[in-house]
Amino acid sequence: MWSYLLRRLLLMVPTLFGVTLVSFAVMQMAPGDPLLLQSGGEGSLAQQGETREAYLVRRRDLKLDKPLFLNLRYFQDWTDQVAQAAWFLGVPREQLPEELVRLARASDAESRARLRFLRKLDIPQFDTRWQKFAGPEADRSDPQVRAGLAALARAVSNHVQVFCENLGDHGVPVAMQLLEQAKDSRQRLGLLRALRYMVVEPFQFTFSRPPRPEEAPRVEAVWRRWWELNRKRLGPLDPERKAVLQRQLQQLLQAPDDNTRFNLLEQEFLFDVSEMGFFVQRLVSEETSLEEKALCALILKLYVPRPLKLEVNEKSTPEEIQQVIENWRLHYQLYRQRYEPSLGRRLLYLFTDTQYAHMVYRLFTFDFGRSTLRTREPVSERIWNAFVVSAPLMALSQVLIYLISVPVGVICAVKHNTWVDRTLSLVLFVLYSIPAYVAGMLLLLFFCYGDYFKWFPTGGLHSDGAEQLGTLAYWADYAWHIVLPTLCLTLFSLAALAMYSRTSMLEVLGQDYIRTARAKGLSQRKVILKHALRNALIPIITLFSNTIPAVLGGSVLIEYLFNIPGMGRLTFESIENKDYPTLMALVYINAIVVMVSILLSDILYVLVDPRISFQSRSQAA
Amino acid sequence: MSNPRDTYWSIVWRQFRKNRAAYWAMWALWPLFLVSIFAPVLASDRPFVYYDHGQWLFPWFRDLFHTEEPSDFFYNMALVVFLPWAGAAWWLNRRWRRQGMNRPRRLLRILGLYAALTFAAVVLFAWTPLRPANLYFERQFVSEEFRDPQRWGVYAPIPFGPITIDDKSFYRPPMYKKPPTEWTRANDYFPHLLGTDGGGRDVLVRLIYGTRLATTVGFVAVGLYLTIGVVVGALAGYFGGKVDMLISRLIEVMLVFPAFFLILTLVGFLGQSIYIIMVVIGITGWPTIARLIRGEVLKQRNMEYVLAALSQGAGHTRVLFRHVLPNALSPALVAAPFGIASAIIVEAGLSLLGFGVRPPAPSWGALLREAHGNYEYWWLIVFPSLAVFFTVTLFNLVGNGLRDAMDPRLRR
Repeated sequence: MWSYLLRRLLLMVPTLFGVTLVSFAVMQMAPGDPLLLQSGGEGSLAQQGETREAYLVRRRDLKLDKPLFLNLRYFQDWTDQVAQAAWFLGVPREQLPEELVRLARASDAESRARLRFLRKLDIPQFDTRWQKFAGPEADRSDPQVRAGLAALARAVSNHVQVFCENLGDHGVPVAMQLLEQAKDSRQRLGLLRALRYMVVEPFQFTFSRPPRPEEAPRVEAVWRRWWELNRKRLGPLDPERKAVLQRQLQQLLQAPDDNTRFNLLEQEFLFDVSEMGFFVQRLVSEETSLEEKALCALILKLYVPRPLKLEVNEKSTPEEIQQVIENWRLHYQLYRQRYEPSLGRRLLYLFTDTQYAHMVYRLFTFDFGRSTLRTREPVSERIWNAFVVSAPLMALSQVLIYLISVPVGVICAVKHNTWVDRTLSLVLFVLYSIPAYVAGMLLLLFFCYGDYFKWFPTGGLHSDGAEQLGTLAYWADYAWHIVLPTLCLTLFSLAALAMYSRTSMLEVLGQDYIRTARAKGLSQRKVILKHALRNALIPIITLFSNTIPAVLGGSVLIEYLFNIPGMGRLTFESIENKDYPTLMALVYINAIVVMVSILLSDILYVLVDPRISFQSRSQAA
Repeated sequence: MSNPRDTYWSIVWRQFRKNRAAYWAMWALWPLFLVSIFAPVLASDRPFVYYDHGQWLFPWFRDLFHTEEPSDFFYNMALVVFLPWAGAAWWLNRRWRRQGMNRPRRLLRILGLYAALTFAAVVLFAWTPLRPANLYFERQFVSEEFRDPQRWGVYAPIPFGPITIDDKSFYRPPMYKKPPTEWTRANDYFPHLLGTDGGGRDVLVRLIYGTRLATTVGFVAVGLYLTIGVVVGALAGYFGGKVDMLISRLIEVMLVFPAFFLILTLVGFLGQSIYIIMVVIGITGWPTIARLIRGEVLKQRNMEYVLAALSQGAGHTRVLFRHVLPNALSPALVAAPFGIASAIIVEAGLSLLGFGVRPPAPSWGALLREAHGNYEYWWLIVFPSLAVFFTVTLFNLVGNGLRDAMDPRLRR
């Protein structure tokens, strides 16, 4: 038995692998960028009330910026492309159209390389637009051509930005290197802009909650740098005030919870920016506890929202630019490990730093992340909430199905070819032919909305204000709500099982041992219940493997009609909202459950029927 | 008792006829097809003949060649070739009977001829300049000044179109007829037998045209997955070894996904079109068929006739498709009517959820969708429900009969 089980479990591995592959393929089939789609069609992000930064963070969260199956990016040389991108970013926006025209008319090697880079950006209809608006034949006096050129320039700068964003970490070392060698300010400007696009959150200014010790060096470094830059301006602090600050900090630390702490911070203790030096000193000092450090960082961030400057524009002075470059150097130093992985790591990333690998990792660890809806609820929480709603309903209806259909099948078989059998078979057949959702609508029509029989509620699981009812009344209300959905889920699915048990029973009743039992003089009751039914139940048990998935998966249409927030409804809603993480989790969980229940029913089969051994089954398989 | 000269199919046919319900259900399916084909003859708001100040126009006929839904075009072509085919069939039938051809064969040939003619018409009129120009695209014949004695038309028995919106009769109950003071169209004299929907469209007409959609989805989707399933299953069963292992794994993986869930997801992602629905049902349905066929082919391939054919020098392709498959096909054929029934259920369900064909295409499920949330319009629920129920029942009955007829254990 154990070897059979082991074999089956091993066979599950390739199947599981296939399941992840199919789910991945399904998700890839969806057109476009899920995040953009989810927030209402492709358009500029500004319209969607979401910052580009938040969008990028979410995109990286879902690993959508990674290649599908094979990550060669760590082995590619990006120098050329980053330099090109930086060149385009270094051109002031209003001069870009002019530069494009110049580029189109020049024929030196450098310009050709620039054009090649532009072509690779996948700008829609690039070649025709390029010919028409920037090419030598373009008539610059025509306003339409000028408008087209402006649009093209906009598209170029947008696509260069997207290029940098997609390149992400891979471009940073190259950009830093180029920055060290850069000669003119325009090149520097371009590189700094490119860096800004590549790195979403360059610095960590505060600790995560709860604080982790490994974060300390990075946070400290940032604030130390800020203090260095601003020390002269802010001046020293007198010792008296220092003592006050020390006391207040202790008071804050001892605050019982976050709310009181924030109240104190916002209303009681008002600091001045010039006093921040004290907190920096506390933060970087070695004897400070982690809690205190976290608090200091929080206060610092509260009073200095933007400590380190990372953006530059054409109006920046050389000193400013120098400062920003220094800031980026600091960033590069702090995160060097991330940017220059060892060869072994790069080889590992070849297969593991891909969309597919990340998805498999998430699925195998059952860490499904957060929904892409605005609420950003954790997926597992959503699924659990839905499961709790639909599971009792589905379980109840599955139990009812078995309780009704097996006796009906047995009665049909025992009374084979009598009017009982014919009538029951006909009824079963009719039930079999009515789709559950059609029945659901008709039931809703007659018993909820009808003029005569307003017997049942029109949807949902509880009446309004059901929470205030007593326990008994609450459950009575619940029962009243689930009558119709359960009826739909039960009546119109039991026919298949009933017919199946009828056939199975008929087969058993034709066996010799039944004749023997009858010949022995056993009563009809005993023959049917003890000899026939137990054998007839064996094949019915295999159908058990359909039950668990049904309980888990809920019923999309019935839950839709009756407005029940269960698994089926969740499925429907996540498809409608293109909520990938939720959907992926649903697909995966469903598949796993089906797989496991097939295995379970196979095992049950052997346990129930002594004639079948695991040996014979593994030979058959 | 069976005659030794009987072919397998004549035995099956005799068994099938013994099952009266199935037999009658099979006959009852013909009206379904006829309604699908003749939908424009039964219901259309385009006049057959239109008299306009001394001019005779034939808008109905031209309209046959210009439809919004591809399935409509296909059925219209079937309608166009119907009369020529009927004539040819009568003549050929007489001729072949004189030559002594037996009945099933004649029937098969004549039906094949119809399919070929329809297909030819589709190709001819869809992609060549022979297609009559869409001259009256802009004109709404019913709403042209219908009291003008110099303008009149001859209309179909039910003079309403499936997608023409009438903004004066939203959600009217069955047998509703506009009061004469509101008459602005030539067809306003006629009652809406089964009421109207949210666009003022006649429910009966939409049901009639919905038959086309339902049958198309059923037949094409099932045809698709039968083909895939049979080929894949036969390859796995016949060649065994690594091919079998690979295909079996694939089947297992596909079977692990709940079908409706997968269909819903794919259709939700790929978009709403009748093609996509058919293809998606097709690609999710094949594993069951493939598994059945694989088992059957495995059984057949160790039989002596296979060895005999191979030893005579027949290639694997020939042996598989000419000798083995015809003997292994019956489980797939039994699954077909049930598959059609469930495809129709799935299509209507998708439309009910809003993932079906794009409105205003007339689908039974789309009517149900309109009624969900507006339960006072009972006619939008009851009639489409009946349509789905009867169609599904007919296909299930035929499937039942076929299964019993093909099952040798039940043969008497």
